[in-house]
Amino acid sequence: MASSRVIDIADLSLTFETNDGPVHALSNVSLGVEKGDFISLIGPSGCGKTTLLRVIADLEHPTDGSISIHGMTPEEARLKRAYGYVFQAPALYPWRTIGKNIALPLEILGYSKEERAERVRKGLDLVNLTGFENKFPWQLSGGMQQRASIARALSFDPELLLMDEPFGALDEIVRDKLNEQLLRLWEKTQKTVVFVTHSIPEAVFLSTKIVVMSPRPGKIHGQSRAARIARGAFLCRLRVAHADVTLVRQDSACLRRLGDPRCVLVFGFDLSEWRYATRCLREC
Amino acid sequence: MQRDAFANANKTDYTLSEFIKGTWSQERPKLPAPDQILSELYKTVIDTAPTSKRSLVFHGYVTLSATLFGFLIGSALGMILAILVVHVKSLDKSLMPWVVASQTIPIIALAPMIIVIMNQFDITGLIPKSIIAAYLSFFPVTVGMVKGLRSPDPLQLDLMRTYSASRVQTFFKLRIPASVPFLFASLKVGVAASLVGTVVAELTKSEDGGFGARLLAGSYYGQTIQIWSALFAAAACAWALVTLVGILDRVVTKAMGAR
Ligand SMILES: Nc1ncnc2c1ncn2[C@@H]1O[C@H](COP(=O)(O)OP(=O)(O)O)[C@@H](O)[C@H]1O
Ligand SMILES: [Mg+2]
Repeated sequence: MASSRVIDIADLSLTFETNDGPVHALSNVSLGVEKGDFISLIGPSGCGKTTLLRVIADLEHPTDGSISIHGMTPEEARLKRAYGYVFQAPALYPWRTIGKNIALPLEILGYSKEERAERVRKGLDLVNLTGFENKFPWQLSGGMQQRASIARALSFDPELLLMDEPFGALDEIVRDKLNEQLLRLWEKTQKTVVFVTHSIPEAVFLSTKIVVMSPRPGKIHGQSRAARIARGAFLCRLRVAHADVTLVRQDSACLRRLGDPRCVLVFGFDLSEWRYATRCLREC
Repeated sequence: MQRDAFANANKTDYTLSEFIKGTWSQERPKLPAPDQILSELYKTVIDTAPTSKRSLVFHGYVTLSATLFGFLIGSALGMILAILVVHVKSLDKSLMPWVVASQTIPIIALAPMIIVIMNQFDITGLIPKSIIAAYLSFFPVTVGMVKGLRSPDPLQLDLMRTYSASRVQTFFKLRIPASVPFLFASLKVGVAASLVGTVVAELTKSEDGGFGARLLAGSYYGQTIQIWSALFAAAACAWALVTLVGILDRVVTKAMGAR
């Protein structure tokens, strides 16, 4: 097992026993995640993305196959607080203020009062929520709540960040903005991220590696990585990809005229070759 | 009845208005007029010294102290039972049916038994009445609290699990705060039930006074006005208690982020 491997999954299967018979949520999934990766899991609804993430988080138990996180079982990793989990819904406790919500894991992990205050302050700053510390969740918009939940997941500084469609319920403009912030955050903190989404543009924008899952039973359909894609395949698809880029540019130009910060994000971002290849791969 | 009164006074040529006036001002009516109850209330609440046995304030104090003491015991018991039921699986199956069964026994039958038995052990005064008050109030508190402690949704519980929080931490940081609104709703029911329990107990054990004793004495001597004023005073107390719990509810939930 390579030491830089954060997650190692081999031939993992998971079957839910339900009243209507077994549901094969995952079958023979293999996946490796390196330190510092930003991995996106994409695929249609119900293909097992959430389940896979929950297996990594030790919230579900696989029926077959092996999984290790930093060389430990998921349970050991969970007990060592190896990861922070961001759910699809912010899941803030309504009776706690934003600051107190961010401090929740710190309280559980037994940080001192001063340390908690310091980390809450840093966390709020990281997700641009300074000044909202004493507000209750209902006083914040959905996007702000989700940012608070990201700050909460990062507050105790876990190496690994697991995110399950964190921006799925938000409108597109907010979503783009949060994507940009998330990318900056990832560059700043050097965390390993496993990110579930069903939005291809989101995955392309964020990830260093994209894992495409097929409909049930969840299988890994393809993995993209620049080096893996044959040059020929890449070239022949470039035209499609190129057309796509033009489209993005045009959109962005319009947006720039409207003063939307999104265009900065599109132009300022270096879309490296493999990102297009990823898209091609899906279109195969 | 008013006809009898006029007949007794050899008065035969009364008018309708005299008749109605008569019915509204009988000395010992079957159904007293509102103003008679009010003046009785005025007399026994304000005109009589609170230390006197004829003051409703005195009786109110007797009833309320037993009610509140019983309510405290009952709520504490209710919460403890709820915590046990939620945390020990076998108790959910074994204890809950008894909790429910306990409420099917008519309190009017149980109260004299409890008081007589406790009397034999020389336990008198406030305690036996409070125990009956507690008996009536623990049930809504248990049911409400169990519901509240189980109210966190899977997502909120999963969150705790991702932090590897212990059961105790999950209990204090999630289950308890989540149960607060449920708890207050059942405390409101419980405090009113406590008052009923105390009054019922006072019907059996009337020598210490209290609203129940007033009701009993009133019915002995056919003093309907006294019965009615004690009834109204008890209703006012129940209203005040429920309102008080309501205010506490609002203060606490406001501090916990309720809109
Ligand atoms: N606890 C569960 N019990 C039974 N079936 C489940 C459970 N959780 C998920 N499933 C099923 O497993 C499949 C994969 O679900 P999920 O991982 O949530 O998909 P995705 O996140 O990709 O939309 C779905 O068909 C879903 O109905
Ligand atoms: Mg999902």
